This record gives sequence, structure tokens and C-alpha cells, in this order.
Amino acid sequence: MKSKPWFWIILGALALFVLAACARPISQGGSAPDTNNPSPVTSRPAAIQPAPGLPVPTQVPPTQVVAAQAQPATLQPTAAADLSKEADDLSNLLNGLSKDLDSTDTLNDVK
Amino acid sequence: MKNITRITICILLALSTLPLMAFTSLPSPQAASLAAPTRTPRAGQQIDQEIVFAFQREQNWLELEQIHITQAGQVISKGQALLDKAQSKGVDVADLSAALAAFTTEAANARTTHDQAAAILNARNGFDANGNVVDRQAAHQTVLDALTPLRQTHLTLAKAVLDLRTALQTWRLSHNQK
Repeated sequence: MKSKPWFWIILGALALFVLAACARPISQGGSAPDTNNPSPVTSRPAAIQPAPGLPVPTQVPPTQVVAAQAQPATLQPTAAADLSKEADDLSNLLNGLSKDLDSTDTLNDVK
Repeated sequence: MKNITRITICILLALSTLPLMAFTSLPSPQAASLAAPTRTPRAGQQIDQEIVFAFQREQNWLELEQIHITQAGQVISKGQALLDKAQSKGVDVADLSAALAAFTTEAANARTTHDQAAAILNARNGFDANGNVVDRQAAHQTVLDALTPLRQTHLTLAKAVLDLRTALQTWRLSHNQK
């Protein structure tokens, strides 16, 4: 063994090189950056915060009734259909207004 | 002699690792991107442009709110027609009538705050006739002052619509109106 000091020198240098290479990603918080798959923490966009005073938009179910409860009819069929059309018209107006309000630019970013 | 050789070997080993250590201690691009961004001071012209842009957006918002208030008026008319027809057919409309009355009140409140916003924006304090900034502080204040009534109008209308939609749905369910 003592007759081959350069063997141990090269082996030691290789070991140091490997140790230093391993220490780099650990000291920088993980593996080397992958440009194709960026870290989810750094690539995630910031959540949009509602401006002070504005509530979180609420999804409102449409006023069209999916399944009416089983109740005894209170109107004759023709009268019920007549009222139903009026109620549909009102419902459509409200739905349209609600959509317009939701899509309005409310200037949340004005400082 | 042996000791000198060993010491020399150790020094050479230590020196050979120095460049590698220096390389590994450099910040990666990913780490550099996490550093806090430095804010460059904005030029006065850029601030003026941002104020003009915000002023234009508020004027657009004001126009849209005028349309929304008009639509709210149509809702009131259509709701009253529904109430009249239902009443003429003997249907109980007490709940729906109360909901429509509340909607009417809220629409009037929205009209009031909308008018406040319109007065502020139409005064154009800090702006010239073409909408350019002539007094930065006054123009900025105009943009900020108009924001509150514009938002209040929006909130009032949104809540009123939500309440009336809920009331209409409940009324239709309770009267078997599909």
C-alpha cells in the first residue's frame, strides 16, 4: 500500500469531487433546476385577492327549478303555464344581469 | 521526507477542491429568481399614464353600471307584471312581493351611489378635457374617490339580484311553477 501513494491521492480527489457535487443540490434546497418542469412552488401564480370591500363572488344556481317538489297543483294548467312564462322572463332577466355584473371589470388593481 | 510528501499531497488535494467549491456556491438561476424583486422608481410620465388608464377604466365601469341600473329597472317592471298576473289568478305573492320591494329599494340605493361616482368622474379634477393628467395629485384623488361609490353600486346590485333570484326560485317551488 505504501508503495502506491498516487493511487490514494487520485482516489481521495475523486471522493472529494463526488462529495462536493452531492453537497451542491442539498445546500440549494433540492435537485438541479429542471427548466421543462419548474418547481410547483415557484411557478404557481399568486392567488387573486378580492379588493378590500368586495366579497368573494358567489356562484348562484340558476333559478330554473330542476325538480319541483311533489305538491298539489294550485292553478289550472293554462294559468300555471301563463305564470310560468312570466316567471321565466323574470328569471332570464335576473340571470343576464347577474352575468353582466360578474363579468364587469371592478378595478381591483387600482392603487 | 515522508512527512513533507504527505503535507504536500494534502495541500494539493485541498487546492484542487477549491474551484469546485467555488462553483457549487454560486446561486442557481432558480434561487436567483426567488430573490426579492427590486423596485425601480417609476417615472412621472408612467404614473400619469397609469392614472389615465385607471380613469378610463372607471368611466367604462360607470357606463356599464348605468346599463345594469337600467336592467334592474326592467327587472322591477317584469317582476311587477308577474305579481299582478299571479294576484289576478289568486296565487299568494306575499313573499315575492316583499322580495321585489326590497330589490326596488336596493336598486334605488345603487342609483344613488352611481350618481355619486358619476359626479366625481364628470368633475374631472386633475384631468383636462381630453382626460390627460394636469395635476397628478388631484387626478389620483379623483380615481380613488370614484372607486368607492362604483364598488358600492356594484355590491348593492349584486346582492339585490342574488336575493331576488333566491326569492323567485323559492316562490316557484312553493307554487309548483316549473
